[in-house]
Amino acid sequence: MLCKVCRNKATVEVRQHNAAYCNSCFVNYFLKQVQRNIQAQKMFSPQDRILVVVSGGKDSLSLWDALIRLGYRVTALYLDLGIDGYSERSGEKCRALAARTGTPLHIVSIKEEFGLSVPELARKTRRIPCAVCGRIKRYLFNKFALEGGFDVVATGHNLDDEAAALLGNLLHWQTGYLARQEPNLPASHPKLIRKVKPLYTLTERECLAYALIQQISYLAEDCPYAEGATSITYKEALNHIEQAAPGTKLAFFKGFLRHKDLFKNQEDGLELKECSRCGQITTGDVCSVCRLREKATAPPKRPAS
Amino acid sequence: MKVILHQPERQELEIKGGKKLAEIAKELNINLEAYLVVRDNTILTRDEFLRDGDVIEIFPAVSGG
Repeated sequence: MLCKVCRNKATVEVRQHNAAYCNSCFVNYFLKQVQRNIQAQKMFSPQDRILVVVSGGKDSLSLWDALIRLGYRVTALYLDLGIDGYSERSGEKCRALAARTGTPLHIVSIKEEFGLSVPELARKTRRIPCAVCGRIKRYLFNKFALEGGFDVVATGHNLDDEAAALLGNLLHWQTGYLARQEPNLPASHPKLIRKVKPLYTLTERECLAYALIQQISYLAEDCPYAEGATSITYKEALNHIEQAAPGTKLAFFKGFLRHKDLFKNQEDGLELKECSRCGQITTGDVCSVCRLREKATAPPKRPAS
Repeated sequence: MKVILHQPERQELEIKGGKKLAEIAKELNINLEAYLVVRDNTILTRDEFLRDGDVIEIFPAVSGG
């Protein structure tokens, strides 16, 4: 197989575009895709301050590396979830890329912020760790971006993440989530920072190829709490279809973006206000993270005598 | 030929070479949309011919959570 651009021997096949590239042409293709996504969705400009949230995995580290190479003003944020062993190894990968690229990396420890790690918070509140984790991560990166004066928060969600989330939302007719699923989520309140996903047209496989070619050391292991996650089942199902019909994932997600207006009136339209405890944005009087923290740190109830 | 699977735990197995990667992937029940295969630090396309003495590494692309 030959590279579509230079006609040298190809290494990475990109079947969704009926193409194959050699290493250096693949890197150019990847960076062009990221740049095109940023411009097509009006995500940010070179003057903006971008906070990229990194996990130590191939996707967020590839995004971080790509944004630096494209000349954007990037600062990375790593949220230490306090998961034994896994969090130390993830943080190490982020620190290594920060050292290699000479770009700023901030680390926020959930244990230091809340007094408890994500697994401890989940256990004490009897919730699923993934639900607690997602809520806390969104809360903390918004707070960090707001206090640091960032214009936008970028995450490493790729085409497989978006297509799997879309499939899950459609299978369960989560019309509210469908209304809010987009690669450039506008800030609906002055204290909420815009969230963007510059990798939304690139597959996980392409992100992996970019990380391997650029020799980015990433953490390959999944979070121990992700085992059996439905998102993995949806991704496997979509890859099964993709194998038979290349380009299906991209057509599925791009088609959804073209038809997004169908779900517009499904947005809940709830009034947003500031949490009476922490000042972050919520729909109630007290935000869900403050409620979670209060529940987790409340003294155990004594049995009635 | 030797196959090193990163699942992400490392596993090694020995299979017969003399065929294209697409055939080997089928034999190993691996969907090449969800994996990358590397030989001598170079990513391989599905038409690559693999010999008995080759060592290939298989990296999963799917991550979850």
